[in-house]
Amino acid sequence: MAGERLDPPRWVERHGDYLYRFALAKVRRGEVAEELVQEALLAAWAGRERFAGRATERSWLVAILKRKVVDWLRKTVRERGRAATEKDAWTADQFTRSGKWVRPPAEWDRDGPTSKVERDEFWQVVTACVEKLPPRFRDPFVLWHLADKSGEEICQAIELTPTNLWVILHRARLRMYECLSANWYGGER
Amino acid sequence: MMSCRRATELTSKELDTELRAGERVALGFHRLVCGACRRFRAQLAEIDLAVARTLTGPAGGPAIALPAVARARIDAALGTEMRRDGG
Repeated sequence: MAGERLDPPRWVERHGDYLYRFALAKVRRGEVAEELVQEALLAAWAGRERFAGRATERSWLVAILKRKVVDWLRKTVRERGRAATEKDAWTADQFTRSGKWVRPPAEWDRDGPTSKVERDEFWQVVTACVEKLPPRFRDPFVLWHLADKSGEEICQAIELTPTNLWVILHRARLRMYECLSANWYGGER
Repeated sequence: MMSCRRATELTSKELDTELRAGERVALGFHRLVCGACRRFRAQLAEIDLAVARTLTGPAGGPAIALPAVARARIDAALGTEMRRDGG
């Protein structure tokens, strides 16, 4: 017999903040996150018969919200077109004219998070670095991590060639590398 | 000899897909002689994993709340649907 039961009248009260944080961490726009939470809860209500009670109420709602977030990112990336693949001065500036590192990677002073407190702090640092990414790189980068799909499927959905997608992901990664090196792992460069 | 710029591009691409044979060989050769790019590969792989965990795992961080106006609006929208369906 199913363990968990749904309690729709209390969804907003019980899960509203959590769902909002989940969406906000991915889309980085408050109004959009609010809208996606609303869409997800309405979809959950409409599909309540499909809740089998195997997952918790919250993880079921999160799974629905995640699909809404992925759909939104896909649409946003597709509409932006090729802007993210045009020349990127920041990435170019990390290397000399002949292609050598301007500031070569240094040894890190610190490992990843180990304690609960550190994990919380780390989550905030990573999230802040994601937030700092220019949206044209951030949205495809987050989509890539969220969508559990192959590159080809994502490329089709957002109408970019694989080469374009890799260029964009690289630009996002190099920025994440720079930001996390500076704000967590340390190491003089 | 491949440049560090190109090596970082391939290091990133390698996280997403399999490299072509030529790319793999050239990158391997570059890494043999370039400590900076060897270090970059290890550090980037760790960062990518950490970012993946942060983005796909449970929401952490400070207790950001759903703004009150949105909360009321969503509650109302859900309430309307529930009454309409007689739930």
